[in-house]
Amino acid sequence: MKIIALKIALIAGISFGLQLFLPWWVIVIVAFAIEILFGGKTSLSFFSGFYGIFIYWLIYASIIDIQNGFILSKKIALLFHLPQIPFIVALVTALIGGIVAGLGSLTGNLFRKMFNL
Amino acid sequence: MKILKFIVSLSITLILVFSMNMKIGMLPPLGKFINPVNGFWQNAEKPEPEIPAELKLKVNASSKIIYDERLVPHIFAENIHDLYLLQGYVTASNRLWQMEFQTHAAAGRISEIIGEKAIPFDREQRRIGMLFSAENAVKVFETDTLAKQIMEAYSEGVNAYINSLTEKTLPLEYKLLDYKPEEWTSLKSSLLLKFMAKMLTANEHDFENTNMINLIGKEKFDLLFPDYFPGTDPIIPRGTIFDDVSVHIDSGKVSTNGKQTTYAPIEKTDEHIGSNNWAVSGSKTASGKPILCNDPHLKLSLPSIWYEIQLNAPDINVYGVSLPGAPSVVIGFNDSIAWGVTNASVDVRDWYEITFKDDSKKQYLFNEKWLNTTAQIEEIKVRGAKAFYDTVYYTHLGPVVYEGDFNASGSQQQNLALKWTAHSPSNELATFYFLNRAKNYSDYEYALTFYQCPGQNFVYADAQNNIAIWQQGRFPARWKEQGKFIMDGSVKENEWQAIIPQKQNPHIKNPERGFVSSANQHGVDETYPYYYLGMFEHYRNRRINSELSRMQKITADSMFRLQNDNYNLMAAENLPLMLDYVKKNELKNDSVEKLVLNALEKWNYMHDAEMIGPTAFDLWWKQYTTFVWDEFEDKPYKLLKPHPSAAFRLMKEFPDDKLFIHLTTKDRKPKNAINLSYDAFYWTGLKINELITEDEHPQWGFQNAITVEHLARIPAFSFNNLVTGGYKYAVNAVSPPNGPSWRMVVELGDKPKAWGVYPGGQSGNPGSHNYTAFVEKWAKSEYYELVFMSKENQKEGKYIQQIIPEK
Repeated sequence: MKIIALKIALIAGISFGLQLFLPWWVIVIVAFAIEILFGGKTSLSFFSGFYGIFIYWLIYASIIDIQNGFILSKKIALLFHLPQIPFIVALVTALIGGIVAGLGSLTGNLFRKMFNL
Repeated sequence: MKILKFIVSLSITLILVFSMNMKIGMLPPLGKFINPVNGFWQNAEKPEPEIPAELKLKVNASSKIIYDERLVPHIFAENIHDLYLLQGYVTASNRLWQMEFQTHAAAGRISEIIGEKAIPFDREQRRIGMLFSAENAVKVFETDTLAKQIMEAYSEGVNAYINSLTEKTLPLEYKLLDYKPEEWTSLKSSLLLKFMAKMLTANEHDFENTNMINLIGKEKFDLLFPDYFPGTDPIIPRGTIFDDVSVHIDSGKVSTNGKQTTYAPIEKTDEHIGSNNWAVSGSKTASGKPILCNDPHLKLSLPSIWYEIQLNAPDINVYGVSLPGAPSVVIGFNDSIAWGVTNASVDVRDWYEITFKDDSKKQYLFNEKWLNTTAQIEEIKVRGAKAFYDTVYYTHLGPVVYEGDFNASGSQQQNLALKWTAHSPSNELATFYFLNRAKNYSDYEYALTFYQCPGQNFVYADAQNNIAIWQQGRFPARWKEQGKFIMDGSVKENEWQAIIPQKQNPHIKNPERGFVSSANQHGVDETYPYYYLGMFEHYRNRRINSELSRMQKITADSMFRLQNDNYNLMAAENLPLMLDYVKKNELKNDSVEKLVLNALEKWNYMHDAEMIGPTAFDLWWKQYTTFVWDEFEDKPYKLLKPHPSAAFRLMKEFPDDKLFIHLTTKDRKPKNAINLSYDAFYWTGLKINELITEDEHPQWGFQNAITVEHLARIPAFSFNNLVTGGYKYAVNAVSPPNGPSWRMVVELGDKPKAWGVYPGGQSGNPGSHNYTAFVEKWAKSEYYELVFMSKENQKEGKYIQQIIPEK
């Protein structure tokens, strides 16, 4: 359990640092790399990437959303035909980021497993 | 097995990552767009704008940009170069996407951004010669050192902003539509001015008129489409003496050949794009100083077509609205003068039928000789598809817009060329450059001499208590009815033989009545020595003139009321007769018809938001004209319905005209104006009943609700269904999607005082609190007092930005 918490924290933290200069998909590489380094149960590996990015993006987007007074997120919700519920756009943002990163961490885990590490 | 699992997982991940990095259909590249670090979230601004206190730019001397509370920038520069560089920079930092999108539209390059579906639009821009016009204008700038300097400085400023952009700070629409801004050039500024020229001068009806006269004959045509409607009150008051003709033209002959044109006409100026402006002399104001007012009516859009700005340098101190993409202030005031514009609505676009020698289209007939065409190959780049190529043949008259398969329907083989004043080289920016600096009447007159297209009525007032108006533009001197119909391009007399000399353009200074005004009506009466055509307003302008004649001791407040006046002169002139025609004794007491009748009998002709009377009147007269003009429906060629005043004139003068025979109810007894109007009244009752039972708010404000639409027509970025009063024939010409795009009132004096409002906000970013900051104030007919700073007085500045020369 401690390992997965560490992985989540590392994925969130390193992605945050690297995303400042690298494109958004660096989150997938980070999740992939962390799983290669740490490994663990394959069945849980999706969640290290998923939660790492889900939490990081959700907090980031929500802070912006609050500071903005929800002006833009309301418009984006309308644009993507989402219901007008507070934080829905931040949540969808975090979910999408989480899923891609989760796939990255799962792939990293499977890569490690190929070499029986 | 492990390898397979890995490969499957890797493939899914890669496919997802790639597809989220790509624009798919209307969907933006999802990963790029939604990630909070670089995506749209970064365009979500805090309520308090983050304006850095210092900025390094390539200015020659230290300068300052002071923003007031409403985020209007007040630029204080030391020289021309720095001034326009900074105008370019601040405008771009607030409105870059809009500036570029509009110039892409003008150049026919929208397909590059949104793909195949914009090809017809782009093709039309290329074929009417938008790029050709803009390039001709650039040639003029290149030879004029002053214009060149200004344009280059402005471009430098815009490019400084573009170059400072990162993926994170890119304006929202670029992220959504997934493309990047390109370098700004003076060609782009010219394209923007041509974009305005097209918006304001595409008001000719040569095709429709040709089809109509062939259908109904000359006598009826002249009755329905007279050059002057009875009661016309021109900009230059009747009785003014004009100079005699000073350029000679050989007269020609109208010939329409009985041939109907089935081509679909290209994009036209909306009839309700117009404007009001007026100036009252000190003799009529409470302060003894003149007051000038202007409200240009355009399609309301977001980001707004206007950007407020103050420009200050040693030779200039001007405030007003600018067009994002062009240097200078277009409508505004300085310490000494104020000016405003309305559209002249004079026809400056004619269509000529071209006879090609053969299918190669290399030669065409003119004055019994074969002349050569120039072929221009247009490459329209298309996103996600192969480029589309089109060939446009240019004649000395202009580009052959209709030819081959363009907008064709059926087997029509007419080749039609467009002659348009926007094609000729001109330097409209010089006008604004000199107006911005004008100190007196002669400076204003001088500034106007540069102005060609789109023709405008420039109203003027100064602190020395002069008022004036000039209808300025490049207008062809026509023989009678020349250009009203499609002309034979091979006949010499049909081409434009002369331009009305600039000094003879309609103008007046300090008239006895103490005011000057224009609202897109006729410039002059029938005694003017030149024949001209146009699409002229008939009601708004007369209301303004009668109000201004009546008013004394005018204040800014009374001017606000006049700009927001909802009085419908058309109703006042015609509703009493229409009500007389209603068979009142046939109406049941508790019927909707009775309710409608009562509402209309009590109505004061005001199109106020909470009233039902205006809804009923609007439905009624429109249905009445639909019945009257049903002869012109469903034809395989385009026709123009006559102006409503023609329908009312028929009702009064020829109530038994054949046009009143209602085609769809032939079985019923023959109709006349009385029966038809009553039928329309009955229909109005049904319609109002429908609105009430379906809970659709019959009050006028809801029926006239206006949407201020985002330029890329994205509903989420638009301001939808704004409930407001006003009417297309009222001074407050709110007529969805058009309306007063900027209301300005300036009181001149030792120091000018001014008020203004526009339905938008200074920021062009949908994620900003300032994107629609002024809309509600505008809808409530309220104004902001404008902050006019000087070098000495800048106390109303809220954010100060020092501009430091970059080494």
